[in-house]
Amino acid sequence: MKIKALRILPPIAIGRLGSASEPLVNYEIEEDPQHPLDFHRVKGATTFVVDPGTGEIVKAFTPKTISFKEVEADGTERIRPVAPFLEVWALVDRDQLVPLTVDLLRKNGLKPADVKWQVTVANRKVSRRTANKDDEVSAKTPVFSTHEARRLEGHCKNFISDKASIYFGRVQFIKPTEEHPEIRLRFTPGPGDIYGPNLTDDEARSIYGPKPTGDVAQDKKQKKAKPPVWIPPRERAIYDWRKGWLGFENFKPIKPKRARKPSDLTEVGEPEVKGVELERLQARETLPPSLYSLVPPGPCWLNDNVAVSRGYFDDTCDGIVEVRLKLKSGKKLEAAARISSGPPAVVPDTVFLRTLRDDLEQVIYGPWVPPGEKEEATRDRALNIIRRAFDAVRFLNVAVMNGNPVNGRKPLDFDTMPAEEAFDVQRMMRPVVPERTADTLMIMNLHQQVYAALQGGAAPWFAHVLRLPTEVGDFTDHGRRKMPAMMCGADGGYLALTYRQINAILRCSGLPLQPKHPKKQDKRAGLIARNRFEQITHVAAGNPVNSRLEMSVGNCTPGLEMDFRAVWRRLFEGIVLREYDNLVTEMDPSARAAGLPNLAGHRLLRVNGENMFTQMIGPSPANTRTRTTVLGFTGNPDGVAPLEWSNALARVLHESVGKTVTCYFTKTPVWSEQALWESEASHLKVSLKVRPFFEDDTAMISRVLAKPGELTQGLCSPWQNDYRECSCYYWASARPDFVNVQPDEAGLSVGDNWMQKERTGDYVPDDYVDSRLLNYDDLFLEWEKFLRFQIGGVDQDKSPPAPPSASLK
Amino acid sequence: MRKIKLDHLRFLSKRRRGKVKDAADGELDIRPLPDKPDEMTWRDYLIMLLHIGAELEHGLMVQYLYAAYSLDDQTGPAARRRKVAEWRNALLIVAKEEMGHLLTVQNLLCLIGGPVCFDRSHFPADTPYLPFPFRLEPFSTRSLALYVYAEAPESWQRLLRTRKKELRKQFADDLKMVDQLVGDEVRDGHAHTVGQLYERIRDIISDPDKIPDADFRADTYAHQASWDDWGRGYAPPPARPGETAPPEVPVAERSNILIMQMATRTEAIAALNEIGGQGEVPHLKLDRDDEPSHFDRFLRVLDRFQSEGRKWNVVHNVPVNPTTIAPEEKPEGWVSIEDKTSLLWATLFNYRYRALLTYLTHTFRLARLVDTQEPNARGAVMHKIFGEMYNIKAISGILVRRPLKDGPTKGKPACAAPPFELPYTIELPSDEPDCWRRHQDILSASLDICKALLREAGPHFAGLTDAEKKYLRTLQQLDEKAFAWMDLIVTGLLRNGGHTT
Repeated sequence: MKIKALRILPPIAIGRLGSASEPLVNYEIEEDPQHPLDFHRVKGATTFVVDPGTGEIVKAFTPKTISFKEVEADGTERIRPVAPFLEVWALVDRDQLVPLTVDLLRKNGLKPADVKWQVTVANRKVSRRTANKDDEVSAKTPVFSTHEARRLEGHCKNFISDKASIYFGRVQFIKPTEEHPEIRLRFTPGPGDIYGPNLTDDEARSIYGPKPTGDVAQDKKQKKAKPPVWIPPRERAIYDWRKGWLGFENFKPIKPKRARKPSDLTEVGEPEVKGVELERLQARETLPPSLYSLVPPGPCWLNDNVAVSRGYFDDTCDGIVEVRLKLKSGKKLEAAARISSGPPAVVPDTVFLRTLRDDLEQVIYGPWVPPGEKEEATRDRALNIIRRAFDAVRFLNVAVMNGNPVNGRKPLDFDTMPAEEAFDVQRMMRPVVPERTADTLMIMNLHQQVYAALQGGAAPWFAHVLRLPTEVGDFTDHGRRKMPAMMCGADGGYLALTYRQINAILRCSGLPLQPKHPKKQDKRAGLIARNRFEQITHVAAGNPVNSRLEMSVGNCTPGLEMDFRAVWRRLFEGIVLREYDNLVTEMDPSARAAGLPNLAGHRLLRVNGENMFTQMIGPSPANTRTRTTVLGFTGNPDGVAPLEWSNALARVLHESVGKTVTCYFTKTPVWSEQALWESEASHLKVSLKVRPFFEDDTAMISRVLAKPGELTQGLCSPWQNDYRECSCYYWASARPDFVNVQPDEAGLSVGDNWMQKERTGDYVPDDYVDSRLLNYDDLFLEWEKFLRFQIGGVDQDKSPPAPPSASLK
Repeated sequence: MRKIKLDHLRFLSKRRRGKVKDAADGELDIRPLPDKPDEMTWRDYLIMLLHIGAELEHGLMVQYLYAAYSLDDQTGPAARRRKVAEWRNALLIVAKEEMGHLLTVQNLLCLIGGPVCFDRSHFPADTPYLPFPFRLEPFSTRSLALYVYAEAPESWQRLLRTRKKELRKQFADDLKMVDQLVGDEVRDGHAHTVGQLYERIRDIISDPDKIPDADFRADTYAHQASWDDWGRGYAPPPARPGETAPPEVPVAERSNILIMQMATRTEAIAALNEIGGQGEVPHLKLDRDDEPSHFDRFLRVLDRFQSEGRKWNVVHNVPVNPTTIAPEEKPEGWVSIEDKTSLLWATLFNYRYRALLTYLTHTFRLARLVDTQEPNARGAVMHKIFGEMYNIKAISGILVRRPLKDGPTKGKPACAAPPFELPYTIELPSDEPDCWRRHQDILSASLDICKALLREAGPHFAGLTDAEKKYLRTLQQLDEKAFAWMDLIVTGLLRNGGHTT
């Protein structure tokens, strides 16, 4: 059996932060066939215990219960990190993929020591914002083939020394044994620490004022009495505070690389750069904006758009694992996979409505239902979507998220999608559905009833209420009530499913697919796609479900484990797009060879006849015929809303990889404003080549599309901010809303806000400043204590023992 | 009962009071609707007519659903299945829109101060107001012809004029076919279209001498059913930028549920015009409205079925008027569901149908008891109604794939079908806790049936498909949760005095 090529499976693995000494055991989730509407059961699966010294798997067992947290003797709570394995598979005769084992190596005249690894990870969150490459934190191991754990120490030019580093975790080449002869590597992410600037006490005092003494009366007298700003401890104070990240303000950039003084951070001033340079720097803003730790704490829009950085870094990262093998023939084989680290999946028994797996499935199969897909398979997918929909509703306080007043308080004060919409389009806030019908258990029950009917064989009848990706800017009641409701998508509008998900339901309903299906399909592409799909969904031995793509938030704003929006930025040769809209941020080195004009600052409006934007519309009583009006406002008079790449480019990607497509750009740069398509003559026509999404015929996302660190660079920095302020609404994933829910005697749902410090059964609406809720510093300092796992919809850190699987007759 | 033979197009002619001149056939006689009994007040008479309207809408809806569920769009070549699905969808669209009409009629009843009506048994099946006797009948040329007839406008001439010149002949031919098909089926006393009834209602409500302003209860507006609550997205999409009208949606996918609240006479007349325009009286609809009427939809389906589908064998072999009543006790003209497992499913269906009607009645009552602006139990009941609609859909789909009778049969086996049998009452008890207990009684019965079907050692289990088992288990769990939820509500009500929610 000759080794022809290598693969690392899975091609993407997700690690999750935690400081517990032992990683999370392996577990699966399964539906209880007797109680199909219950939460999934959490069930232990074969778990490997690795000796950290030797790198050998010394024990394999199946846990009866799953503990997501450890509580130490002193009461310190530590979350167990999720540490996925990456297996090496070999392509052998007849194009079969088989595990690369000691035996297979031996048959090819090789031994485990011939397997060479190298891991490169980075955290670019800060440099993404400051536009300063010297703020990139990256770690690269030497090439290794031994079995000791390798620390991933992230260094950065702007750290105080060459030795200062962020600990991103470790990787370990697992030593094959007789019982476990497979070649694999394990990635254990960092503990979830926050790093920051190296301020002395004097410097801190000059910037933030004197430290509070604890004496309230005396503190009140202090001239600069402010909430204390937490400064990371000395061993994690590694950033040279003069380099720009501390005190960074997106809307008031200083000259790049100029050293700062304390007065820069305390005095109000004008931006030091002007004109196009200012626009270019401000275009680095993320969506949502200012996703970093701020002084004062709180979202920038509550503080006159003042967003002064505290200069924090987190220890998340993403990057590439490479494996190499030189055959006796001299041929060199290589394979790669991606890893990333993110927050814990605090709802470990529930799958989000749109996951990374859904987005990648669409990349592999295209937006349509493959012609060869069996009806039962399509139907199962449709059922699975409905299952996930009612699981999402469970964790969503529907009344509050609908925009209902809460005990007479104004709904605009709370963090909800209708409130977001009101701010975005500068219109009065309206609830999504009639207030009287908005209740969590009511709506969940309705979804479950749909699920029941589909189980019984009924064809889906509700396809007309699914939001098409081109309808995300429809803010009429007709549009806002479409499904999924009350959640946010990658474009900042209401969430839409992937075309592939929508089309599964349309196909079962007998309705035409969206967009129109091409008549001819490339059969060969299907064969490769099937192979890719198997690779991308491969379950490596020992990997719990929360290390996989199906437990990772999909293409939403911005994501938790990865910002999948970032993967589209370089899809067209020659240009680099902003991850969340159609702005060309810079030209790629390949542009020169292709003879492209400088398109930086231009906006991509149309690709192969398809608009990359929609226009926002809202209800209008003025025209009874159209009933709508364009929601334009100062700065965006045409109400232009760019569409998320994952859906907008799905068709282009499926049909035109390696081919040239016709693109239209604005004729001139428009860095800070949206632009509307007018006519071919009004815009700049450029032909661009579509890059492959995957490398060769593997399922590895191309390294050309995203470098290490780029798949997480648009996420919050530090990630804890995501829990406090990010208006993302990833219910039922790592950021639930409504927990411990039960009906009261009026038949309505009561429960707690997941972010509520004290569980009272009285939901505290999320308004950023309520002291009953977790605040930024609670999360920065004690996230492992405060982020409570939800099992069965209630606070639990440990799963109950699952009964043995029973397949019902 | 004497059957009458109608002349070509005769049944479509108009004569409510005496004789009218018809350009095609000269003078034709059509029996008018019965007059108001002298001693009855106009308000009382209007309420009676609205009750008849509600029964009519309800009855038509059920018959359309039955015909739709009898179509098999799951087998055969893909192209054929698509066609069948289109016909099925057309029937379902009309049924959904009839539900909107039914709710609008309830709103009219609220406005006039009459009791709501979700029953359909208060009037004998041969009431002179119905277009044809109530009959659950599978999809066929004849049943379609009956539906065309029921939804036909009073004046074929006026309708004909709305057609493009080149289509007039086709249209006339279609109507001739309807005439021939229906002619022998229409019984004496049923020669009325739905439109005639609504014309009568409209005439009365428009006349201040008959219904004075004081009879209109504007204060019921908030208690009436609203599109916001019930429409579920079934409306034309909004216009996109640059469009001067809402975008075109293929007819087969279009559905426009009209549920109008009203506070005034003017609004009541507008509502009647709207539902008349959508269903039965096309000349009432607004000029700008290009939505096909129910009459148009049925005529189109009939036309296509006749030309393409008659020989396709795409209709489940379901009976006319299925019943759960044993063969020795069933009324004449009804067919007993005899297969034991199918009978249980049919009984389950009846309970879900009953649950739906009981919840519907309850929502109108709860509307007066709860704060209509806050989330409340009425909202939950409303969602349950939709849940029951889904159950009816799912169980119907299961029934038409199950045998009608025990044992082997020759030829295409006869299938069971949804019986749509009414319970002894859908009236609600006087006290609120008892209303919830009524719901619990229905759930208990349903749970017992699920249990009987799912009993592994029982006689039914082995004959269930995986999908049926999954459905039953899911339904069971839903019902158990609903039961517990209602327990909580009853406890709360009793603690608070028992009358309000």
